[in-house]
Amino acid sequence: MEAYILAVLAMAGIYAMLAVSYDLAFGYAGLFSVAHGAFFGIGAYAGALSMLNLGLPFPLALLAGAAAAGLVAAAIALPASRLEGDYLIVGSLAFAVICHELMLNLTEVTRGPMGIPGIPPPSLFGFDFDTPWLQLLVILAVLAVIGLVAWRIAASPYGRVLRALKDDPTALEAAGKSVRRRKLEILTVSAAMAGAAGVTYASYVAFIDPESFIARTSFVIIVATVLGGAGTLWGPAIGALVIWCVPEALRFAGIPATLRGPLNEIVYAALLILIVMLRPEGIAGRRRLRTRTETGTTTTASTTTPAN
Amino acid sequence: MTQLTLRRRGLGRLALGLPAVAAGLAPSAGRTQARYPELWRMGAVLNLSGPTAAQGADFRAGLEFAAAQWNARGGLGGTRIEIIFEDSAAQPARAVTAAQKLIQVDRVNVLANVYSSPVLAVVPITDRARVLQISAGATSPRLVGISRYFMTSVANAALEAEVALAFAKQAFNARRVSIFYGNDDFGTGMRDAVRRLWPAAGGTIVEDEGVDPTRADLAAVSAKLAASRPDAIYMALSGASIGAAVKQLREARFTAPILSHQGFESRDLFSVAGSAAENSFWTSSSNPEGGPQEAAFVAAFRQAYNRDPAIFVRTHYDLGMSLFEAMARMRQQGQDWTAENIRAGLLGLGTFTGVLGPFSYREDGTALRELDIRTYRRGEAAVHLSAAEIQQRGIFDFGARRT
Repeated sequence: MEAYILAVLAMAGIYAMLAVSYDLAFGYAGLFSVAHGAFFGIGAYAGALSMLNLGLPFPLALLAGAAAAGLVAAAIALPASRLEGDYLIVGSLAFAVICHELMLNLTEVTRGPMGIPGIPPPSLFGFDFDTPWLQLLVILAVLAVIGLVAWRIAASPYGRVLRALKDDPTALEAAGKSVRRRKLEILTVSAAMAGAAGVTYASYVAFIDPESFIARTSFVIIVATVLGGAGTLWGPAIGALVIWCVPEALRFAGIPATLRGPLNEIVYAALLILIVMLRPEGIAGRRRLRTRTETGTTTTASTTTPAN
Repeated sequence: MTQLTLRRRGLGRLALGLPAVAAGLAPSAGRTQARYPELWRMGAVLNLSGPTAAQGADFRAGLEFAAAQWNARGGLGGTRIEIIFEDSAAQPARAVTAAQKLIQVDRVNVLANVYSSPVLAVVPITDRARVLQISAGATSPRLVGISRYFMTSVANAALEAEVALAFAKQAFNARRVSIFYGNDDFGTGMRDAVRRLWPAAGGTIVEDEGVDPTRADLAAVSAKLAASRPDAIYMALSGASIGAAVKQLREARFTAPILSHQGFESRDLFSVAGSAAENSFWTSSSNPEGGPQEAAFVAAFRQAYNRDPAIFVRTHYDLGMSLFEAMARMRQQGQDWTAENIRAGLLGLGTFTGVLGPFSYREDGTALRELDIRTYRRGEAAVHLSAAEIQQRGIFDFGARRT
């Protein structure tokens, strides 16, 4: 039982990294990209190949994966930072599809659909973190670093700039800040964090293939972020925990095997619909109260003091 | 069928499940199984959702049906069989947690899994837990000898390709072969086998083209392959695209033989391709004495499920039947049902005759199946050369591989 719970928590931890990193781009800066799963995959492949082919230890592989995903994101963000709204969604989806095709077809590098097996567990100075508890410890450590960096960014003046980018990019531009530059920067940082999550995933599962990084992966990350509460950082981490624990809990519900698979998908959809209808801020989102102004128009206000 | 195996636990366990997962406080659903318990549980991690869920339903039905038949005749010497199915959606990450749940919570020591990617992701877990992982759907050449705790009951992709190519060489004097493959682990595994085997046999690979195996619009690739003018095309596709590929190859005026594997033979393919499927030859598990046995199986399955058993039902039925036969024999001999003993029991079965014909498990984790060459003529599939004829004509020596 213990190893099973640790495995669920480990996967939830990895998806928490993804959701937190995605929250920086989506929740704070308002950049609705569906390419986060692709950056996750780029990091996973870069990390796995650097460990297997170059013999890099896990911490350096982690940096290599983050750097690879960040560099690709920067290259893509140069043209993509001109896009916004629906166009960014379509552009990022196209990028995700291209990435998947490359993972499938660059067989000399990625081994194509055969995937890469035998990825070593995390190790430091010759010590292997190869038991379920130690692997979870590594995942929580990486999650803590990612969370800390994300929190520092969000709580800094730069975080206020990101919020302004989401709320009113025109005003931001008028204030002398480059909207394109901010978009490029935050997409790069967010992707680098997803890349680090990819390396952690590769080292934990010990096997990667292109099917692990399809568009559906991005949608799961988005659902976790929205469910938990975009723009809160810790909310998406809770969302990731819910996304992984609810299907696992369903395994204990005595539901026939024929129904359990499709039911997982229905539960995801139902959770999302319920959240959007009943609590659009997400589980951890700041509660907004409807107040009536003197002129009779309805406005909303947060129950907590806005961060900045 | 209702006796079989699906657990009917109260919905209350759903409420227990979530906190259990979060806090690790739930009691284990099972403990180390007694030597011969009243109920023996095995796990199955299948693709019950996602784009390949239809195949997953066939995998499940095959295993379920085998267990139901054994349970109907008293189980494994008095021990009833329960199969606990978990969904992986064919995703390695989901397969990992599903396998952990089955091993840690349900305490299974035999785990069925399908497709090479989820199998490879679960191998470190089953190795660590010393649980036997079995499969009737993972055929990647990479799985050969991968673990002491992995065994498959289907022919490895490389063996099917080897027999089909040897046949093409002798029957058509083929020299130039092109490959039409699906860009998935099965298709690329087959492609690699053909790429390796055909030049070694003195032939030339003229062209190879990979396609998304879920696509049906393959006209451009078909035209390119037809234009390469090979003596034969080896088709390493599976699933929905294969019928469309055959039809579009013929529409591109490719008239030479099409070679393929066991997955070629399906009603869907023949309904899509029709007469275009003629002059096609594929390997299929040989079943020389299986006529009455197969007819009885088909009739019983039809009665239970109100449909015909597809090829993947049969592969998993054979997997289940061979496993349960080995375990029943072990009980007669007083052997414990440990993973190591069950592996030895499967190896000790020798040649096991299933509904897809005789096969034997091998030390390297693969299975040897004698293969027929089948073809499509006058609107139906038929044996072109039996395994015995293939052996007699010196096309391929199955006996030499039986080690």
